Amino acid sequence: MVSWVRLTVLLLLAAALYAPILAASSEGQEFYPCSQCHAALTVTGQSRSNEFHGIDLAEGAHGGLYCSNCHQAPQVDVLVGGVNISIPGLHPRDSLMDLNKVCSTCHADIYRDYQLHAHGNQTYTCSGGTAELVEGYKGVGYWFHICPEYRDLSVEPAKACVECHNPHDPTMPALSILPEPSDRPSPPDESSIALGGVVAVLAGLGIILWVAPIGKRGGEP
Amino acid sequence: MSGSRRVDEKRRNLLKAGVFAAGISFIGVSRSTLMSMLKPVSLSEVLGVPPRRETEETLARKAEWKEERIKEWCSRKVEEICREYGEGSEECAEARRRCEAVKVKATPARQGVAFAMALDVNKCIGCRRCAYACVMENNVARNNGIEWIKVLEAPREGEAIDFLHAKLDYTDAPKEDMVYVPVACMHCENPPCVMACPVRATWREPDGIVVVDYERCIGCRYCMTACPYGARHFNWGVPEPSVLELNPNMHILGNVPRQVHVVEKCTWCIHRTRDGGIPACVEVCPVGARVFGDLNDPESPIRRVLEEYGAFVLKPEAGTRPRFFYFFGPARTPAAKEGGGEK
Repeated sequence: MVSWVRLTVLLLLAAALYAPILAASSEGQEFYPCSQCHAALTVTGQSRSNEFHGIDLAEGAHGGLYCSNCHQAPQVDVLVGGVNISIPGLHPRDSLMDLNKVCSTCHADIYRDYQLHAHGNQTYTCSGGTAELVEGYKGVGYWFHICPEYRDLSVEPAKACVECHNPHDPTMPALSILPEPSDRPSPPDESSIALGGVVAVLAGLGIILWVAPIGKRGGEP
Repeated sequence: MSGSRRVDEKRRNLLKAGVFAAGISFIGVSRSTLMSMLKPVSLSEVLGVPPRRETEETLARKAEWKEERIKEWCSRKVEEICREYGEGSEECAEARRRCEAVKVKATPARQGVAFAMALDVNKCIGCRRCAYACVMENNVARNNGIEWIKVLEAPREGEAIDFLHAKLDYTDAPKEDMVYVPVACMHCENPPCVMACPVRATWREPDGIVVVDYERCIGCRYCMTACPYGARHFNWGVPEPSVLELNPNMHILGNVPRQVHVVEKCTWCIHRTRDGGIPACVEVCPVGARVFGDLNDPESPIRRVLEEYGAFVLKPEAGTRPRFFYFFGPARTPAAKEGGGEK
């Protein structure tokens, strides 16, 4: 009897703990802070790696940094500049753009380039319009823009820093390449031209053979 | 008799001396002087008439006329698609949506704008996404094998690029010892294609975009021969763009569906850039290697990279003064690992 009570209590506790996570994952749009599960997860000023997340700051372009350079120790989910991070999955663009503040702390020059649209790629927007990512010619991922008039377009950065650069290993990996270019269009069938050439040569010969005897005859006294 | 022979001899000697002097001066003169002497002269400069350009009114009228023709053609295609896939099909709905959205614009060049593009050779990974997004954006017919952008893979020797051994049909990239150089229309300040056109069907707009009037082009292909960059392409067959992939945002001097036997080329997505947007190749580039902007705007991205990193152009000896620049940026995209890169 006691064991049944214990089991029920354990199940209720588990349900209470995982309910927000299940709700978040089923809706797909809600995010929860890391501390929801990792209440005791902290970073110290000396942390440089995390085996579970596969992070090792001894390697890569951010090699030599400490976790606390970007995460406000001892909390993991608060970054420098007061930006909060959440897990899991696809974050909305605005929250990803928020993370740019962290990158700009050290990379001010590149961030300036980014703001001037000289670093990273850009996209355009129009009032009342949308853009759909479609698979296009030869497998290219192409943004199909739908605008009411296609006028007064404005350019903005297409991606946040972390969409291209993994913050823990920021060198951008090479992407797969697309198929080879098409062959140059071939000119039309030239057999008719060749036939025309043969006809012209034969006609020329015919004229010579026809004219020559006349010339000879005309030359006789 | 002997007097006339003496005169002949004198004339011959004089001619010999002239040829000799010309030869010496040709060898002796500096290359830059020679280049300045050989500056291309357009017919309009010699005759003192302004270069041919359509007026805004004419272009607007043409755009209106073209839009009607395209909508007629498009609705015929929609009927075919709906018959093939069924009225309630996704294909039918998509074709109808694109057809109804067709808009042929005639947006004129903005005053004081000088467009230019630059490409970071250090960043480019040769993935060809720009070339294929360009096909999608510009309603290039898939049946003629035309792609306006060609990506060259060339061996890198220090700071030099060995274009003699460049190739187009590579299947693995990026490689450590190679650079990738996408080539399309350079929108030259001295465009030889414009000078070669016998019917003045192509010209340079005030904002620097070299355009083609498809209605006027007679398909003689002189411009293709004149272009040192192989940037112009000829429609040997009747172009058949797919309505299901039709881009409804069109410009009369840009991506309107073309007819057979006309020449076409990159227009820096005139239908986007004239209205404040960016070309499709800039948008799709996964490494952000391309930069586009107004040379006259000190805050534009193009000014930023040119001032920061300098630039070079292809075939400067041709004297075409391209507005498409290449530069070596601060960081290089690493080579792909064995077995290909990430998707």
